[in-house]
Amino acid sequence: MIDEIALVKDLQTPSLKEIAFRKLIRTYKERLYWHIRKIVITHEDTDDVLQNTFIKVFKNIDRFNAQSKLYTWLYRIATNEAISFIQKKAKEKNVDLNEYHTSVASTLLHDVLFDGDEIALLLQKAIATLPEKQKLVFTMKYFDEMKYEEISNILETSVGALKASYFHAVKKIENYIKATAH
Amino acid sequence: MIEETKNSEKFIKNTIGNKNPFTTPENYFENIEEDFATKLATNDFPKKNPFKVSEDYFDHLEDTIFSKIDAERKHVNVISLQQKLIKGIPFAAAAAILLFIGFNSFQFNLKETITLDSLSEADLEYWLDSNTLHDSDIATVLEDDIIGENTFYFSEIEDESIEDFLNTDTNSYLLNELK
Repeated sequence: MIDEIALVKDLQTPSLKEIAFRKLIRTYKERLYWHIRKIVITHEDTDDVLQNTFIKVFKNIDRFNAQSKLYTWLYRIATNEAISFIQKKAKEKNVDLNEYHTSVASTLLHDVLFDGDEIALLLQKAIATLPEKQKLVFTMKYFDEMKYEEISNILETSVGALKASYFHAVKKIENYIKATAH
Repeated sequence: MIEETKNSEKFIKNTIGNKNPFTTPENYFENIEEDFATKLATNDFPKKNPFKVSEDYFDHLEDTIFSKIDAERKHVNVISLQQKLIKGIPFAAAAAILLFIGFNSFQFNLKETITLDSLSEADLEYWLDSNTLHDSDIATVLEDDIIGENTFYFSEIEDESIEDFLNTDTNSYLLNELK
C-alpha cells in the first residue's frame, strides 16, 4: 500500500517529479493496463491508451486536487482515454461504436494474446453488443470486482443507476449466450 | 431455572430495550430480487481473465513512457514556434496591406472606410509586386501574439476548475454522454 498523499506531494515537487512518477507508473501500470485492456480489447490498442494516460497524468499532475483519490483520478483519465480512443477508431473506420466493438471481438479468435475458451470468447462477443456505459459497469463490477461506490466515483454516476446498468447488462449477456449457445 | 432465565430476560429488555439495532441500506429490500437475479445469471459466466500480455511488457513500460514524454517536450517546443510564425504571416501581411492602402487613401483624401474585404484583387497584386514582407513585420505581430509559459504559470485558476476541465477536457464529457 503506497502513501498516496506523500506520492502526490513528491509528484508536485519539480526536483522529485521524475522519481515519483516512475513510482506511480510501477504502482498503477498493471491495474490500469487490465482496466483499459478490457475496454479496448487488443494489446496494441491498450499499450497506446496506457501510454497516453500516463503522459496526460504527467502533464497535469501539478493541477491534481488532492480532494479526490489519486487512483480514482487515474482510473477516470484511463477510462476517458480508452473511450476517446475507441470513438476515434470507429470514426476512422466509418462505422458506429457497436459495429466497431463487434468487429474487434471477432478478431479475438485469432489473437495470440487471447487465452479464452469458447465460452470466454462468447462472453466477450456478448459484452461487445452492450451500450458503452453498461459495458464499462459490467467490466468493472464483474471482472475487476470493484464496489459500486468506487465505480460511482470513477464514472460519476449514482450507485442506483450503476446497479440498474449492471442488471440490464447481465440480462442482455445471459440472453445473448442462451440464444447463441443453443 | 426457567424463572431465573425469564428474570434475566426481563432485566435485559428493561435495560437495553427491544429495538433492532441493525439497519439495511436504503431500498435494500426493493432491489433484492434484482440483485439476486443478477447474481444467479452471472454464475454461469466465465470469470477467468482470458487476455494475456507478453512477459516483459511491464518491465520496459516506464522507459517507453519517459522517452515519449521527452520526445513530446522537444516536439512541442519546435512545433509551437513554427506554428506561431506560420500563423503570424497572414496577419502581418494583412496589417501591412491595410497600412499601405490606408496611407495612400489619406494621401489622396479618400473618404471611404478601408477594410480587408473592400480591397480589390488589383490592390493586393499591386501591393505584393511592390512590397516585401520583412522579418520585422512578422516580429511585431508575434510579439503580441506569443503566449509565454509564464502567462499560465502566474494566472490564477481554481484547482477545482482545472480538475473538472481535465476530467472532461478533450474527451468532451465522454462519460456523461455514454448511453
